[in-house]
Amino acid sequence: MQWPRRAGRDLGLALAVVLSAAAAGAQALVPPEPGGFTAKPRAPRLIFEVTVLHASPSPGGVDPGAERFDRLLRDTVRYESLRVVKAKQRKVKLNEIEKVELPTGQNFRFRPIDAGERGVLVSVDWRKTARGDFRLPRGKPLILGGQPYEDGQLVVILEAE
Amino acid sequence: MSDARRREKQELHAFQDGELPFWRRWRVARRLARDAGAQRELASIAELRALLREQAAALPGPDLWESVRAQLPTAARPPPLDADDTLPARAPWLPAWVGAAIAAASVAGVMASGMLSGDAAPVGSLRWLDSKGKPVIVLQDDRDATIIWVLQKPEQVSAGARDAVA
Repeated sequence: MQWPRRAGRDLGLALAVVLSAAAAGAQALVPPEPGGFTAKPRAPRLIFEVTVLHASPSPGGVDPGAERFDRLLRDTVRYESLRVVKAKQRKVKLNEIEKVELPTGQNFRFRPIDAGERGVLVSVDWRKTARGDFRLPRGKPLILGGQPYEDGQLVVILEAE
Repeated sequence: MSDARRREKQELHAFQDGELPFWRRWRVARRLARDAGAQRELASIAELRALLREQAAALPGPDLWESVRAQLPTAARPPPLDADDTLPARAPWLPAWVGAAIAAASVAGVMASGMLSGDAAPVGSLRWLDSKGKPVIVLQDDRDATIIWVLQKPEQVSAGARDAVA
């Protein structure tokens, strides 16, 4: 009895699939590093959101992206318009310095120092304005304002996710 | 604003700044091609940036103080207060160190309130702050937000105005 050519080809294909699966399984059993140690886990990346607003005495309303911050600011800071100049997401490792360029040409820099249940301890440096350390629980915004810009002021908001 | 919407906006900001890798850039470009709302959003971002750049590049206006001062009525200055008076003659103008002291006191107060709260987890976020000599106000530091305002004057203060204050 003679094998049809197609059946032979299918059998070969199936054999190849089985062999490659076996090879993949064997690879998974090999310890990643000699001596049985597991590979060093990757440093987790912390997610931050940086929003830059321009609070101005000129009329112009509040951007939809700034409404949440408007609710926090409107009672304490005087402005007629609040516009989103930048909204960035940054993934940063512990002790890694991240920066966001502001419209003034200066950088807003921050560095997560420690992360725990109570939030992320972040060191912040806004050149020519202020620097400090803050413990930021998830979702609680740090709002720094006051740097004069055009007819208003810049507001930088840092949030840990 | 929903999380998805916020992500989309962030992606557009990153797209505008050329910060996206090729694959995500391509995806945003594809979305822009079929989403008129996203196109409007991107145009608005670009317009605002251009406006701010334009204003930043504009030359400062002429110093008008001298011409304004020339038109001011020349009223005689009130006589200085007697030396016996408790208020010094310069009382209305608080010296800079008072502002700095208020700032330091407010920051220390916020930090102390966090430290005196016993075993409970501190609510405030502020650990330390250096405003580089400028007065600073901690407007809020509770569960909802931390709001800090640094009181700064615009850098372009005319010499005439400075003289008038001094």
